[in-house]
Amino acid sequence: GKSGSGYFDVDKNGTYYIMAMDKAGNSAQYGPILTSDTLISVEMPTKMLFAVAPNLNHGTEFVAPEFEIKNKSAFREIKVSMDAFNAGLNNQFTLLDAAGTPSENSLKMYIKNVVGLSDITQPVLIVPGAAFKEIPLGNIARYNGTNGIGKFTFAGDTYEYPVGMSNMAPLRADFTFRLKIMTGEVVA
Amino acid sequence: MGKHQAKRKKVPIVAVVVVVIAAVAVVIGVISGWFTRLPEFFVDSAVQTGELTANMSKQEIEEYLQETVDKSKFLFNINARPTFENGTAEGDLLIQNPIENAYGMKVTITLDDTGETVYQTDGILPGQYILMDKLDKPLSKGEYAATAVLTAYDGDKEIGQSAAGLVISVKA
Repeated sequence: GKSGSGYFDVDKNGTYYIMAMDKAGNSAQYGPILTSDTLISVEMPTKMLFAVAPNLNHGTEFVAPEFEIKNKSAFREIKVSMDAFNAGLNNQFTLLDAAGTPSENSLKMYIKNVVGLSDITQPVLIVPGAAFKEIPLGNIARYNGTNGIGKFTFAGDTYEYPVGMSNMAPLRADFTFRLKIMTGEVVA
Repeated sequence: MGKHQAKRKKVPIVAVVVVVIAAVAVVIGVISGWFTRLPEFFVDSAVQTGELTANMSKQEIEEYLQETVDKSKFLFNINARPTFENGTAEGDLLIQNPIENAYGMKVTITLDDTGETVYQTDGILPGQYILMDKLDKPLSKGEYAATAVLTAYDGDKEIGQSAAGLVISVKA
């Protein structure tokens, strides 16, 4: 493919402009060139993090941050799903299916809505690997300054770690997820 | 109780070791394994420099996780409906890695029906874009459901992926 330096920007009428700068520092604006109401413009997290820290005086409480997805398109809402969830090479434990019972190196993990993701208002169990099925998260409104944001987090059912357990090596988990964006109808 | 307290006195020494190791996942695990031998697990898609200590409150852990995730945000633009006049013509892909991104990216487009890769970029750095380009594999007239996978890189290290559903139109 071909690439260049600069940026293109979208105006409210659906046209976009190219700002370019040459090596001498001369800049120019070109356009409008093409309509852009079909442009996906989105911001999302790329890291998957959570913690269970029973030794930090937090019992078996599962702690996860909030993952924010921002629709920056002024024209279309977006439909968001999680279309992949995989264990990495460093993973040392198992995510269980619905029938599983958490152990020292396994737990049940769920994805749930924080704000704006109506398809996961009830927590959805995550089963990684080949058994994983795409999880619809919901639609996020077009950006208008205040809308256009969806947030999710993870929850977990963990093992009831007994105090004083011995001979248990530290465990590490390594998972990645992928979010998929589809565009909705143009907002008039 | 006395034995338990004796173990806790070692926290600062180990905390230094943990910082040197500079791995968030290892930090919690080491703290757990060395001082109470309880199992701990911590997930990350990439090892980070650790600032966790044995004295962190739950709120401090949450804030640390949140800060790490927020720093991993990735912004991209791509045309969901690229159009090509014919199978060998350039189309309006409008792929952009915005300058505010911290990561480079590569894009691969595959057809949903066949899984066939029809377009693949090399690295696109923050502030760079591809407006128009030809597909690597010419397509005949029609509309094709496809998925663009955008892979974010920190240097040569892959840090995450996002995906976008596309409909590729070839007019003739």
